[in-house]
Amino acid sequence: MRIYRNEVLRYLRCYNEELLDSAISIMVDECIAEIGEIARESSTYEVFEISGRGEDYVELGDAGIVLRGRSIAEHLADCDICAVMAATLGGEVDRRIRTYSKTNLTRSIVLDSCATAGIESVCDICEESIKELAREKGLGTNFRFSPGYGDMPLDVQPQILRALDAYRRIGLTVTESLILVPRKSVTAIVGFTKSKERARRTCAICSMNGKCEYQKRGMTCGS
Amino acid sequence: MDLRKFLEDRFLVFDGAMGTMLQKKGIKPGELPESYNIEKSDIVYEIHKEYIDAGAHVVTTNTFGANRLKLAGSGYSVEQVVKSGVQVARRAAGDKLVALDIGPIGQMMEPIGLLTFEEAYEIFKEQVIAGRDGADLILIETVSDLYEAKAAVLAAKENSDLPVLCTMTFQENGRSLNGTDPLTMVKVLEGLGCDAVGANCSLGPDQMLPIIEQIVSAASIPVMVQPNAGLPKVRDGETYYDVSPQEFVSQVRKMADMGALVLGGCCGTNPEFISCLRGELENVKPLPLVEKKLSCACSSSRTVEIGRGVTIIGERINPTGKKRLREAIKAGELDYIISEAVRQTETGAQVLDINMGVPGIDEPDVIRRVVKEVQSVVDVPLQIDSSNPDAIEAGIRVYNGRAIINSVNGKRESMEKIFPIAKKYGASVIGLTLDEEGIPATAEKRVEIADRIISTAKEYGLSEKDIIIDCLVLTASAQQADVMETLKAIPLIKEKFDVKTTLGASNVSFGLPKREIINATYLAMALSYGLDAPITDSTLESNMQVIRSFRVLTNYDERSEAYIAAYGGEQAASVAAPQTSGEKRSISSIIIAGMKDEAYTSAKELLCEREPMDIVNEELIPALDTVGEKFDKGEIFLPQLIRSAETVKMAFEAVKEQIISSGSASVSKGKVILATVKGDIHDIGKNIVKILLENYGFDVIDLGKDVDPKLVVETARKEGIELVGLSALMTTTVKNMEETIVDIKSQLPDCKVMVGGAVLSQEYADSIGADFYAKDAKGAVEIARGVFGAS
Repeated sequence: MRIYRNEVLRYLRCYNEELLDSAISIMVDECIAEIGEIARESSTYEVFEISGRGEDYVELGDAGIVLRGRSIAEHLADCDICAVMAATLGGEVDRRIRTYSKTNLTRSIVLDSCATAGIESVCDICEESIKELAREKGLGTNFRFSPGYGDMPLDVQPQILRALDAYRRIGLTVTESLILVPRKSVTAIVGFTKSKERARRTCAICSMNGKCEYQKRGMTCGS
Repeated sequence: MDLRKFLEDRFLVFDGAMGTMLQKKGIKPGELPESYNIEKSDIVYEIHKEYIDAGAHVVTTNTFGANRLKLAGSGYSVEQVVKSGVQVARRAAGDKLVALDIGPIGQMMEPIGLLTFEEAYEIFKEQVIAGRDGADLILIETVSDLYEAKAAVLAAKENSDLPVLCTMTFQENGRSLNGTDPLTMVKVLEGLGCDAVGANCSLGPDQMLPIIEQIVSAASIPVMVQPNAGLPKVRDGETYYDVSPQEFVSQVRKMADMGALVLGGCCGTNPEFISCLRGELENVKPLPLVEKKLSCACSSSRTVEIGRGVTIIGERINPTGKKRLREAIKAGELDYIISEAVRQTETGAQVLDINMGVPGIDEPDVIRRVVKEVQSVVDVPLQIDSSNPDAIEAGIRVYNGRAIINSVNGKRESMEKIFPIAKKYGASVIGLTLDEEGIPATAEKRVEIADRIISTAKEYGLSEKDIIIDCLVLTASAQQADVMETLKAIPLIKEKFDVKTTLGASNVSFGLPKREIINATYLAMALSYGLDAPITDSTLESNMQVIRSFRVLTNYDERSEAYIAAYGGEQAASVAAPQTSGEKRSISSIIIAGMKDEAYTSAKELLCEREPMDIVNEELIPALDTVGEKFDKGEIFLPQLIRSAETVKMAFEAVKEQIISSGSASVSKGKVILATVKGDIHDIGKNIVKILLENYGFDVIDLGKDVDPKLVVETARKEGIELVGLSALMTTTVKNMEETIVDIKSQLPDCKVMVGGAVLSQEYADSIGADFYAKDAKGAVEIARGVFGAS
């Protein structure tokens, strides 16, 4: 896992680093190190065949997963197989953020942003090994598509976790209201594409589209 | 069955994996393994039978995930699945044994997740009741969270008479996913009355070996082992295990030689592993059980050995003589209690005493909530302190660890009430050397009472290592002549019994000026008389100086490392001469610069000259407004804004203390409830709103996250609330926000509701019936000002 300072500042909505004072600046560095110490990052994935599809769904029969929505159908249009992945930083990160929220709210917020940057990095690493597998098969991959993107509903989370035996493998759970716990966790679908071109993620599939602070400033969040 | 008897001259061999065997027989990742008990019971039967034929003494039912949450939507009830699982195992087992299998619930428990201890208990209870008839043992396994293990063990013990075996899963770093180490697991589960304890899954036998070594060296009860067939490996996106039965067995044999008595396999193992294992153990005699003596207390991630290098028990969470804490307890102000807990652990307390003895409160309920809250923030063991046995049991039951009970005394009635609780939950007990006739004057009499306490404890199945004797401090101002009797009793008791000792040391100075001087001297004296665990104030440097130097002089702090870390180099200068640097800063500049540590003192100084209300309105709020403007202009960012808010909060704490001690008029501008709605656990936004509202002089009742609508309505009614703030971050939880609003509006039509959260907008807020939409924290403050007509 590699946490980039710039990313952390982006999550903290510090649009101009020069205006940060040294105490906060030091706190960011400390929190990056702290996440490095307390995170128990782990990830898992499995590759499944697409067993059925329509305009607004994709079925992974062996996994017992039905991915719903036009956007995921489109995402996997060119694919015969896809990887289903899950990644987490583990529960200690949640606990620490929570503890600081009682004793040092500023640090809790900074640590939270570091953790967000951290889980993205863990996903990148997991995605790398998926890409590697695709390359071996002479295939390319597209980007990580998570439940909640576009019109893909969150209610697929329990199916994904069950198919990956994610609780046992990486200690990942999902609540009744479909929140992943530990909090700093991600599930995603990566399609194996016949073309090697890598599709880009766009603002169109993001739930913050239209409300995003970066868009307002003519920037993108970069993810 | 009589497990101990069975293990006298042979090992108990369990079966191997069920899950990976089902996979071999064609189950798909998306299928529910437990449904096979009903739909394809012949396959389950076959697997059990293969294990029995391979020589297993026990087969484990195919009920790992048969809890109501995992079965939801399957069309089957827990009872159906568990009963059929037990039946098929029973059929295959013949005259061999059946273990009712209980795996983790699959939800994260509080405080990280939403599953409460009480809910977890109910879920496990249902499984135990469904499976207890027909099973010979209960196996609770693959648990990562000690708290979950505790709920399961209690559910098993309280709802069946079967032996209970419990194994947890450890990672390669030697801890469970939730941070529990092997020693702590053993001490907690053994205390709860488990019949065997151990480790399973996750690791292969190689990696598990050092963990088993630790477990065996700590456990006085049989140790159980079920490793995987190696670490899981991934090939082509599929998981497999590659340790051969022979390699597996050679490692498990080593565990048996260390003293493990109950052996089997987990993921990736099959009947061949079990048959090899039986073969290996054919002519091997198990080691006899040895009692391991350790006087200790445990949190979920740490075991503190009582008396090793002086164990500091923090005394500050006790309202006796503390007005501010008493107010906090009455008002349910958990944050204040938490801050005391954190301050004590940061200054060196190794155990925290928790006493909620304030008249007029529901003490068991309060202690339960405080224990849950404190254990979620600090990782030192807790000591539950009450004169009410119900409060003690309430606290100890929900404690995620092995607590100390404070206290029992030599009165028969006290012992009859407290010892059963200590035995049932596995707690150490502080025994006060007083009885029906009060505190004896002489040391010898105290030894007699200690003797009576210890021998009675043994009748209840406790041992000397579970007892900590308190020889009772007398105050020097009232009973000066008897002060030394207390100290004299300590070595007498320690010579006669294998118990530890404690003292509420700070009481000695009651009624005298400069109490810390007497306290420090007395502490030093008591330690040299052999005191193991003073109950004292770790935030007082004078106490810590005594303890740190005592640890040097008794050769505990090797090479004086901790002492030098505390007093060497730069630290020394600041301890010797508190800083008196430069000119004084105004409180406003302190707030704008976010200098948290200075705000409290600065406000204290101002309070000598000015009224609390003036300080709030003329200093704190204008400074905050300046910070807010800078934030709006993009001159400072969120972390700085929050830091300034925290700085104001420190200043407010000084104001609050002044108000409580002087009884002057409250500075509250109104009382607001804040809650993250049911199902939602995002609380950063809510926390930011909370601190800003507090900064602007509003009292906030923070109901936390995942809050039931009922609790919001009840609290609003009880407290006469005019404004409720609700937060939700997910599209999936906004519906719960709507339900909460409907409940509030139908029962308390005059109560206003403001809402906020990433997925909300003004339109959305309107459509779910909210009165106000708060775009951000500042917006929430404006709304509150409007509702309460404040400036």
